[in-house]
Amino acid sequence: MLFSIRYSEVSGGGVSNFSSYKGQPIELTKIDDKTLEFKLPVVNQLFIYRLANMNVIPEHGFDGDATIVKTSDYMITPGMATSGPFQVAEVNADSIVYTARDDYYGGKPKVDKVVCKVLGAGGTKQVAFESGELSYMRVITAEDLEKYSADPDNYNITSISEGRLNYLQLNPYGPVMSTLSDDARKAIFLALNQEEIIMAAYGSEELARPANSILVPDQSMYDPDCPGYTQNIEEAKALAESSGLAGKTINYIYNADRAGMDAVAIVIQQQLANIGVNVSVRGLDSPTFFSTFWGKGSGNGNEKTWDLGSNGWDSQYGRTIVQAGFYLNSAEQWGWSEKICNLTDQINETNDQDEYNELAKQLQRECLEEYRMYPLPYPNYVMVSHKNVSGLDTIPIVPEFADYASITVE
Amino acid sequence: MLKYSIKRFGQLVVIMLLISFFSFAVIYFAPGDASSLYISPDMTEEQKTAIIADLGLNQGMLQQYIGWAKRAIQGDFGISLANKTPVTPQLLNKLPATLLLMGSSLVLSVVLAVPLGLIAGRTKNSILDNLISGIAYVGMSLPSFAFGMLLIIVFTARLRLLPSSGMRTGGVNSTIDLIRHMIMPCLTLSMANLARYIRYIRANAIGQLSEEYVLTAKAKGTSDLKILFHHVLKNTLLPIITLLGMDIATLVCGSFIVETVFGWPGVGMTVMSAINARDYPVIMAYVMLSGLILVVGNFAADILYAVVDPRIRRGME
Repeated sequence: MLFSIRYSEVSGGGVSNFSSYKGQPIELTKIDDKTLEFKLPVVNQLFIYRLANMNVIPEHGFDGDATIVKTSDYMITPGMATSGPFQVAEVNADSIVYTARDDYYGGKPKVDKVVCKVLGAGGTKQVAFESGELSYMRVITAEDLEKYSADPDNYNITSISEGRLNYLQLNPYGPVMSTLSDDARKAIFLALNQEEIIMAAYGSEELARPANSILVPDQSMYDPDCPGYTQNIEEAKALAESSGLAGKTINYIYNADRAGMDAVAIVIQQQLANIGVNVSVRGLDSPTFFSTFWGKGSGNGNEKTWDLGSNGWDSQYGRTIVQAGFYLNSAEQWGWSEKICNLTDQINETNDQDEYNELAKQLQRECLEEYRMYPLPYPNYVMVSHKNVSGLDTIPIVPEFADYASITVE
Repeated sequence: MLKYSIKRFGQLVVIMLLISFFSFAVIYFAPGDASSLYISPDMTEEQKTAIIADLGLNQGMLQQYIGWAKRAIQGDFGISLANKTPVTPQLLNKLPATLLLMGSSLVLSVVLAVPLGLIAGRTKNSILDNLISGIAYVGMSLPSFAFGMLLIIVFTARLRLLPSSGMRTGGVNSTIDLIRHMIMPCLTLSMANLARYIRYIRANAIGQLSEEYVLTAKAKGTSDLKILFHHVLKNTLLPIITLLGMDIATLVCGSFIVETVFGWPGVGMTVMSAINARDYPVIMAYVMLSGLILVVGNFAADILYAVVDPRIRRGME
């Protein structure tokens, strides 16, 4: 752990989220060979999330030198130190082969070998799955879901929550949005029909559920009674007129590498046309999209080129507000009020669970009232596997298969 | 000949400099910021600044280019931004897979094109000629990715005979397995070259078959087969040498689409990933490699042409 933290400092230019918080040092004390104590300068609930996502690196593989981790071949060498039920047996150009450990503390896995392979582009994944080269694949379209569901003799369908929120973001620095009042944002949100957007992008409620909050149902402080947004065309039209939004052309960006985002963009374009707002849509590849979407934070000036954008947060599980916390603290980047930023800090820095839950509820409702971010769907992670493959949902979180030992192939 | 070779070599160096500068400029000015892939919103300003400095993105374009060029001349193409490992060994590790696939497809193209082109030329305007020419037209018109996917649908999805992608089955290390994985990508790659070579060989064969030496050989009682493969073939291959010299560059350059479609772990797939990740050290290394192979291939073709055809050699002198 200490070596991993040293490495995070090396790769972070001398600064690490594990050794400092808000400019103050975190005290690290080794209690024994298996216990490390972290003493934070203030309460920080998000630290639990960071710890859970730490990649622990074996110190002995690098002779204790954190500076050579990046250039070393150790992490692609068969037999490298791992802690799970499988060990790396082969590292090939197009696949990695794992073999089961006999001495795993949780018992020997039910499958002897797991092969992770690189596939070709396009539809080869589906061909590979149906020909038996793959044991499972993710289902992302309603047509595929219907096809495999209709053949229960040959396929199993497994569905788990992805712990993800896809959302629509209004950019306070956009070329048009930066010139308009708060009513303009409200007009846009009230013009949208969430169900229509979700059906266009996913085609099935089994693939995605309507979202009502910036938090996801997999988080312990999620409020199922949070009202979400409801379409109101008449009010939207009136606000579009009074705010000067009607007749304007706003710029919309989306990540063209993400499935369904183009459909979302087109439906939103059509729905905003109903209130007299023109939308110019641009699909960008991932690197271009992120450098544009996060332009303000990167300081590259790209935040001035778009007004609306769709993005997503993933792997939101557990009892912290996770990515929402990082995001809502960025008042300068997204225009959240001081009230929202302070609320986020309060949530993060309280140890009282009741207070934590109450503040989180308040945060979810008050975010909606600022009309800056529109929660769209909570996608599901739907998998299809061959009939002889089971155990895929033993631990229902994404990234999938937290425990490969539970997978069975008959 | 020596003078000509030296002059061409000098041109080669200038061309490589121009290729390196313009490709660097294109990547530098391309939309998208490489640092955005490595900076997350929860990082502090110090962390963001450190990462930008680590990537070398805080320097001007000329400074970045000169720094890169100095190292590139020594074979050091820097560190990949995506996986933080040196670029040169990465590409060198992937090169054998690409050379195997490309080399096999090139050999297959030539081996098939020679008899088919000669037969088409010999049986001009017959049903057989029309059939072979038809295959050539299809091969030239069909995009390689479409042909590749067609093969996958037929041989994997429908017939379940061949694997859809990859170089080997995970955990299996046999030559038969490798050949099974190679069949479809090799066929896909060889199709375009095969079509081209057939057309060239056919046209040349038709021309050569009307030459007097062919009439003489026939008058002497030489069989058609011997005339075709022993006399005519040598003369029809001259333009093919030029084409081969240029096609050597496709040993590395032409692999993008096919390697991506078939998941073949060669240079093409590596560079496709690098392009998506704005991993410009890898992209630049690839551009230099492919540029070098292209100009060297053309250079070699010119020299070889002079060696094979004394008329060309006299012209050079």
